[in-house]
Amino acid sequence: MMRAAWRGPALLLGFVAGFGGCGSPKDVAGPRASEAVIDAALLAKAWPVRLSSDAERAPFEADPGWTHIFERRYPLALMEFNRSGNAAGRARVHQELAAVYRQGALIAANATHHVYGADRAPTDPLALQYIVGVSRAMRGDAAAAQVALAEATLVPAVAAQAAAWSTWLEGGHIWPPDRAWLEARTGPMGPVDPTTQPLLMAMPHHQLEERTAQGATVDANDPTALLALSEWHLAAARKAAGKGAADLPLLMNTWRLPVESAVTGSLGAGADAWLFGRGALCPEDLSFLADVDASGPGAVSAWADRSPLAAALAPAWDGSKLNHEKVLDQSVLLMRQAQVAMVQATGGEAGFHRPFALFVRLGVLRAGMQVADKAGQYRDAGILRLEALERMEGGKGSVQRDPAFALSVAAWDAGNRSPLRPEDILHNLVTDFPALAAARTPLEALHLRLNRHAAPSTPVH
Amino acid sequence: MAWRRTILGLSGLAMGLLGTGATLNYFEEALPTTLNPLFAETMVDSRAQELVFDRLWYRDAITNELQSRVVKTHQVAEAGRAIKITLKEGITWHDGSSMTSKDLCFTVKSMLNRGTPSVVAAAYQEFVAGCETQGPSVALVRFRKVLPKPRERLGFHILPASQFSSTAISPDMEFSARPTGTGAYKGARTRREVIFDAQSNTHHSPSLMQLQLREGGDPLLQIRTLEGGEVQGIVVVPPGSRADLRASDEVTLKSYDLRSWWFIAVNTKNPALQDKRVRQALNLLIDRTELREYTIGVKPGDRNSPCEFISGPFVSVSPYYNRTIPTVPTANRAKADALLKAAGLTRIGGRWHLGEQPITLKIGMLANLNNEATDLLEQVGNQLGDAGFDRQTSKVSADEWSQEVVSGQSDFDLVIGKWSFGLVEAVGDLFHTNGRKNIFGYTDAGVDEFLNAYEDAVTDTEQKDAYHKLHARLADELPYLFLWKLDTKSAWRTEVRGNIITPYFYFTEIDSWKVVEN
Repeated sequence: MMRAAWRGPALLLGFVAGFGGCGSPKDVAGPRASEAVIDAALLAKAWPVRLSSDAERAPFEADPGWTHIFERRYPLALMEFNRSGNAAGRARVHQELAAVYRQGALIAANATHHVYGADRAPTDPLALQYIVGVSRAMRGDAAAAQVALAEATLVPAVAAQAAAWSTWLEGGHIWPPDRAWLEARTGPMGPVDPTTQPLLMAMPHHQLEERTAQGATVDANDPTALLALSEWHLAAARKAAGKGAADLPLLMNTWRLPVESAVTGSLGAGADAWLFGRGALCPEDLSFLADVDASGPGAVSAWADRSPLAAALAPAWDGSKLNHEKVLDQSVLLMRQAQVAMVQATGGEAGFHRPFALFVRLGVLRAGMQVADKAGQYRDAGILRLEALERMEGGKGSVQRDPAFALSVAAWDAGNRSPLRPEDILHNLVTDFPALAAARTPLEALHLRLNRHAAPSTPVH
Repeated sequence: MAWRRTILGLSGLAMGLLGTGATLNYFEEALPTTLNPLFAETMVDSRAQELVFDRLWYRDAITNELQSRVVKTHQVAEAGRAIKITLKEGITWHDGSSMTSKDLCFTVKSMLNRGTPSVVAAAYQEFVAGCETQGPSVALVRFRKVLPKPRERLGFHILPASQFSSTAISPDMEFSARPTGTGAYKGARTRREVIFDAQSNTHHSPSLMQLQLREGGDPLLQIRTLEGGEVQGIVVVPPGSRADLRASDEVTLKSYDLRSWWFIAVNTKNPALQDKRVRQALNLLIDRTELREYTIGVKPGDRNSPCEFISGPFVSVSPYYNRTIPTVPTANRAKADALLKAAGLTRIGGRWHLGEQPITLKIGMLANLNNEATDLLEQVGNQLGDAGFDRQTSKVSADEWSQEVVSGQSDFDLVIGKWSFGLVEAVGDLFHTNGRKNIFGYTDAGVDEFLNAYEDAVTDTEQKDAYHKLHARLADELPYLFLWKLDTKSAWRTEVRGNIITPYFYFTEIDSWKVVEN
C-alpha cells in the first residue's frame, strides 16, 4: 500500500502524458454539467468511473506495466510485468497482441481477395492462388478457397502448402487450425513462453515472377503467418492467465476472423485486468457486445438495464433501426456524464479524467457500430467506425492508442477495396509490429491495381 | 422508458428542423482560382467545384462504393470499347434547364477538343475517343481501347452545353467565376469570398441554405474566429494549432485524407544550379529537422508526427515510394562544401561565387503554405544564407503560382510548394520533359525513360518498379529538394453535424451536412 501511495503520482502523470497536450489538469477540457444519459448506478460500474477512486486505481499505479498497457507499448509492458511477476498483466499483453495479428491477417486476406482474386490479372503469378485460397478460407468462403488452392497445387513452389490447407479445410475442422499445424506452415516461432515474444518469419515469404515478357518480381506474404502469430500470443495469454484463460474466447470475440464463430458468456473474476483501458466498460458490456454478435441488435433492449453501453444505445434503437446520429450524441453525453461522475468520486478535476472518459465515448461509438452492422446498416456502422477511429485523440496519428481497433478499421477498408487509410494505419504501426509488413504487401498491391483503373487526376497545389 | 424515448425522439426531431436553412461559413487556404472543373489547379478549386457540379461517377466516402447521382443505368457496349449511359430524368441545371445526354457529350467533346487548354482534359484524351447522343437521356461514350472497368475511370464533372458557344473552352470565361452546374450549390466568386447557394434538385437535398467560403489568412485569427463561432469550420488546420482545438469541447478535429508532399523546386536553367552537384549540395544544406521544428512545431522524436520527411516524389506510405532511398534529415555542411567546390564554385568572403559573381538565389513560396508552416520561406532563406548564398525571398499568390510558376514563366531559382494527390499519384506532368506542370522545364533522359516505362507498363508491378527507379533517379538528380509529407486536418464546430469529409474531394457528401443547436 505504501509503495502504491509513493509511486502513484508519478505513474498517474504517466497515464496522462500519453495523451498529447494533456500534461496537466488545466490543459484539458473540464466536464460540463449535463443531464444523466444513463442511470448513475449503472455508470458507476464502468471502470473509468470506478478507477477514478485512488484506492481502486492503486493496483494499476503500483505496476508500471499498466501505464504501458494504457499507451499500448506492449514490449515495455511485458518487460515491466515480467519484472513485477504480474501474470494478469502478461496475459493482457498477449491477448491484445493476438488481436493485433488477427486483424493483420484479416487485412491481408481482404486485400488479397480483391487484388489477386476478384481483380485477378492473367499476368499474375499462378502461385498467388495459394494466398488467395488461404485468404478466402479466412474470410469464410471455403468453396472458393478450394478452387484457388486447387490451382495453386499445380505450382511446385506452393503445392505442398496449398495441399495442406486444402486437406485441412476438407476435414471440417473448427477454426482456427491448431497452432502446431500453423507453425508447420510458417516455420517455428519458439516455445510458448508468456515472458517472451515469438520468432518472426523472414519476409517476403514468396518472390514470384509475373507471367509477362519482363517477368517482374511480385513479393507475396502468406496471411497464415499472421494467424500463426496470433495463435502463439493467444497460447501465451492462456498460459499466463491460468484460470482466467476461460475469459479469452469472449475477449477475442470482437477480433475473430469472419470464418470463426461468435461466442457468448461473461467474464470471470479479475475482470479489471482485462477491461482497464478498453471501450468495454464493465463485464456486462462485454457480454452485451457478444450477445449482439450472436443474437443480433435486439440485444440492446435486453441488456439496457445491466450494461452501460447498451443503456447508452437504447434511446437510439427503435427496435428495428439504430439512429447513428443519436449514437454520436450519446457518446459525447455519456463521456461528459462520466467526467462529472469522476469529479464527484475524486473530489475535483484530475488530469486522467479526460483520457479515462474518452474510453466511454469510444465504447459507445464502437458498440453502436457493432449494433448497426448487425442491423444491416453497413454505411451507418461505417460512420460510427470512422468516428471511433478519429476520436482516438489525434485520429489516424494515434492509432497506437488501440492498434487492434485501428487495424480492424483497416481490414474493413481493405474489404471495401479502399487502400489509402489502411496504408496510413499500417505505416504508423509497422515499426511497433514489424510482422504487420505481411499485411502491407497485398494492400499495396491492391492500391497499385486500383490506380490502373481509377479516374485520371493530376497533381494540384 | 417509452416516455423517455418519446421525449428524446422529439428532441432529435427539433434538432433536425433547426438545421434547415442554416448558413455555414468556413475558412479555406485561399480563394479558388477557378470554379470551372476543367481548370482546377488547387485543392481549393477541387473542393469548391465539388459543391457546384456532379461527377459522372464517384466513390462513397464511407463504403468506397462506386456511385452516381446522375446515371440511371449503364451498359458496357462495343465489346468493352464503349459504355452506354442512361441519365436520370428530372435533373436540372442551376438555370432551370434540363440536364440531357447532349450535356454529357458536350463535356466529353470539350475535353477532347485540343482548343481546351486543360490538364484535366488531357488525361482523359488518352483513353476517351468520343461521345454520341442516342436520345435525350442516352449517351454512348467511346474509348480508344477496351477498358476493363470503365465506370471507375469516368470521374469527370459534367458541364452544361448551353453555357458555351464552342467545345473549345477557355479558362478565362465568366463561367469560371459564376458557373452553372447540377451540384447541390450554385457558386459565385467575388473578390473576397465565394457564396454557394443551395439549389433544389431531384438528386440533391442539401440541408444548408448557404455556404460562405472565406480566405483563411493568419492561422491564429482563424482559430479565434472559429472558437468565437463566427465561422463554423477551417478546412486546413496548421499542426501547431491542433492540440488546442483537440482539447476543445466546441470544436472537432477531423482527418482529411489527402496525400500531400512539400518540395523546393530548383531552376536547373540557372547557370549555378545546372550542375547537379550544386543541387545535391543545396539538399545537404537544408536542415529539415530544424525547419520542421521551427515552422511546424514537430520536435525530433515526437511520436505520431503529422510531418514525415521524404526522399522522393511520393508520400512515404505510398507503394510507389522507394524505401531504400534514405531521407536527409539534417544538414551536412562539410559534404555540401566539398560538392560546391567540385562543381567549380568558390567561396570568397564567406559568399559562394560562380566565376566572379556572387550567387544570389531568388526564392519564392506559395503564400498560403505559410499558414501551415510558419516562416518556412524565411527559415529556408536563413539556412541558405548561413551557408553562404545571397538570397531574395518573396511569397507568391495562388493565382500567380498557377499562371506563372507552374507554367514555367517565373524567374525564381527556387520555389517552395506542395503537391496533393488522391489515389492516383502520377508524377509525369511534374518531371517529364513534356510535363504540363514541369515548373522549370527540367529535362533528363533517364527520368523520361522511367516515366515512359511507367506509362507503357503492362502490369501494375512494372509500374511500381518504374516509379521506384524514378524515385532513385530524382533523389540523385534533384530537380526538386524533397521536404516532407504533412497530414491534413480540418476543424469544424460541434454544431456542424453529418459532416462527412470525402477523401480528396471533401464536399461530395454535402447533402448530409447540417447545423444543429448543441
